Amino acid sequence: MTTHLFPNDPLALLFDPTAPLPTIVQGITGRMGRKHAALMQAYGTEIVGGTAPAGSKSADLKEVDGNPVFRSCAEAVKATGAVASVAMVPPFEVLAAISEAVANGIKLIVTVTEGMPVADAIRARALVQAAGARWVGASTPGVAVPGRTKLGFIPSVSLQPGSVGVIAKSGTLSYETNHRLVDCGLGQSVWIGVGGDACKGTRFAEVLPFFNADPRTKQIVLVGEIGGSEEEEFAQALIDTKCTKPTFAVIAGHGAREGVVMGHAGAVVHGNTGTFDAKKRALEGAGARVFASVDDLIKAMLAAH
Amino acid sequence: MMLLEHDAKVLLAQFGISIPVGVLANRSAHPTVRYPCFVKVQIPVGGRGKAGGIVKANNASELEQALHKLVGATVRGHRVHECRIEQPAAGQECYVSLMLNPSSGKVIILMSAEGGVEVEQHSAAGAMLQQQANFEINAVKLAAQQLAQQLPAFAQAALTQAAHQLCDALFKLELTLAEINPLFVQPDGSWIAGDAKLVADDNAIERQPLLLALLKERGHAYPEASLKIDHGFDFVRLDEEGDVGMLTTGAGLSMQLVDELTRRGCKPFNFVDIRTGQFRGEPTRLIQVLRWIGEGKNVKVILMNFFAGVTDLAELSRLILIALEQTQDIKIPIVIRLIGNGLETAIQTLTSANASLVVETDLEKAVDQVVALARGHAA
Repeated sequence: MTTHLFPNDPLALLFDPTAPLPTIVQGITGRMGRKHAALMQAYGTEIVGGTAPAGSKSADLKEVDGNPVFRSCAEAVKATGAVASVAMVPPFEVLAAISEAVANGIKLIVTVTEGMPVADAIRARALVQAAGARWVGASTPGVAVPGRTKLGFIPSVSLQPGSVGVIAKSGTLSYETNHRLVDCGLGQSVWIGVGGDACKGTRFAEVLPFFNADPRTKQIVLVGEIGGSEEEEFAQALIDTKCTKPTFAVIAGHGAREGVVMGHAGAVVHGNTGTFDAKKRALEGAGARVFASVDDLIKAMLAAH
Repeated sequence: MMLLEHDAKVLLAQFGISIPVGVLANRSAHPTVRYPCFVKVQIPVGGRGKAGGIVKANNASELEQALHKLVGATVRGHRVHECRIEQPAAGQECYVSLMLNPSSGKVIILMSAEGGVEVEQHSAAGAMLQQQANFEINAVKLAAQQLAQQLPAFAQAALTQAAHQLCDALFKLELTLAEINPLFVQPDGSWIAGDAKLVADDNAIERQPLLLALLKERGHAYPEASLKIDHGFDFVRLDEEGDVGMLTTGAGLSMQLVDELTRRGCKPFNFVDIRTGQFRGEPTRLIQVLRWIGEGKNVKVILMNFFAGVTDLAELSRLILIALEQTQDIKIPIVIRLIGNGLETAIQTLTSANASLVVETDLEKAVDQVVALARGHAA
């Protein structure tokens, strides 16, 4: 079992089909929180409750769509035994949400919010590591184990149980890629959206060992972007883990101008670092196949299948 | 957001860093300056000198000529709107920078007594000192102080002080990079910043009063960052001569579509991540983006792409029709690609209300249509 290989890393919860994953939604009384708690629950996620913003009045602590609402993570975890959380809070409140969650025993936290400051992300990453927990985000549609659970809002139309391990920075580009793969009969084992920020909770290279060890994952799709060094780190991890699973990558932002940010905080080229060519070289050097378009990637995957 | 040199220097001066006297100028505003002076284009990339973006002027007529030549020109792919006119500075060229390392969560400190435009070559030859420190202001200052002790004696005090002041700026303004290169050190040990490069964390700007004030005062110099603060989404003008307008959602997929259209010979006018999830039943953003695209002189076709994971397409299609009704003066063909919840109702709504709309569910086919229209062929 995968979990035996990485017993202390909560990411293993996603790779163990028998592990229960009771989940709370931090910010469940907000517009986003309420909507997505219901959508996750409809998909099969074990939502066991949620928290309201600090300082909420007792009157605000009514149930939301049948889910109990608590004043704090401490109360929520105590009452429900939650091990996972999806935080749906404003950008400047993400750090506090993560801090509160891991201080109260949450092992796996997904934060979907875009626009988290880098300084907050650095602090969050340090305190999550110190707590032995795992943070996925920020700026991510979340993670999913098709047919079982999703934490976040990866669209159900792109999800289908299968053998492709998906690792993605971009939400929409991964929806598009997987929607087409599903149309061609290729579903996913586990899908981890790491998010588009430069500093984040979980990086590409950190999830590779799980996919490599996971018996259900037969091939890997990496949806990358220009900027930063995660694709290069992932290439090094492919070599280090001696991963032999076929790996296919698409990288967005080939034509981006230096210094111009397009939507994702992490997707920016400064000088010669973070360029499409550097990433392509590194990934191909590690045996992965790199494509400039989704169409080419899908054709190659079908041909290899 | 990478700050222009002028703004970076003005900010750094507030942290005690000494900078050469200088002013901003465009073609219409000619400040009185002392000669000789340097005329430096203000664009958000390095390598300006090598690209001809820094010119020496010995008198008023040379200044006039330099401004005439540089303002409005394109240097390293960026159009020049302003120049900084600056008094010369000289001394031994050193280098200092502080940078957040997103993978380790630490601050990287770099120092060298051999800075200037050839810093990368000097660095490759081993002249660059490097140290990482925890993301904590005193840890960074201590590490910088220790690192400077490995420098030649003449540079130690100057680079320690410069690093400490940059460190204050880095933490106070939430910068991801703060660099002075060259940092001129005089024989008496005093120093001055010849150039400055600051990169601010876009996500922190809204809680940074000094940066907000800068955007308020000089928003025209930072159109993308200002637009994001004002409107809450990303819109980047990529090519004023562009032939394809983009009205799309999702940063990664929109970036990929820009790549794909470029590869197929089109010139995307813009990038946008309109974020349908934040519409809240209002067509405001759609109208705004259509208006901006309408400003493109050569735009021949607009591609709308909505992969609606959560958004209801029936609702979205109603908003699209309202937006089109309010922008009837923009007579550019539109290809709409939709996929997601409520697809059939959406297609029905759009095609019955507006027969000229091309609606597709397959992205490749939609892109084919866009390419054909951009080339002037009927789809």
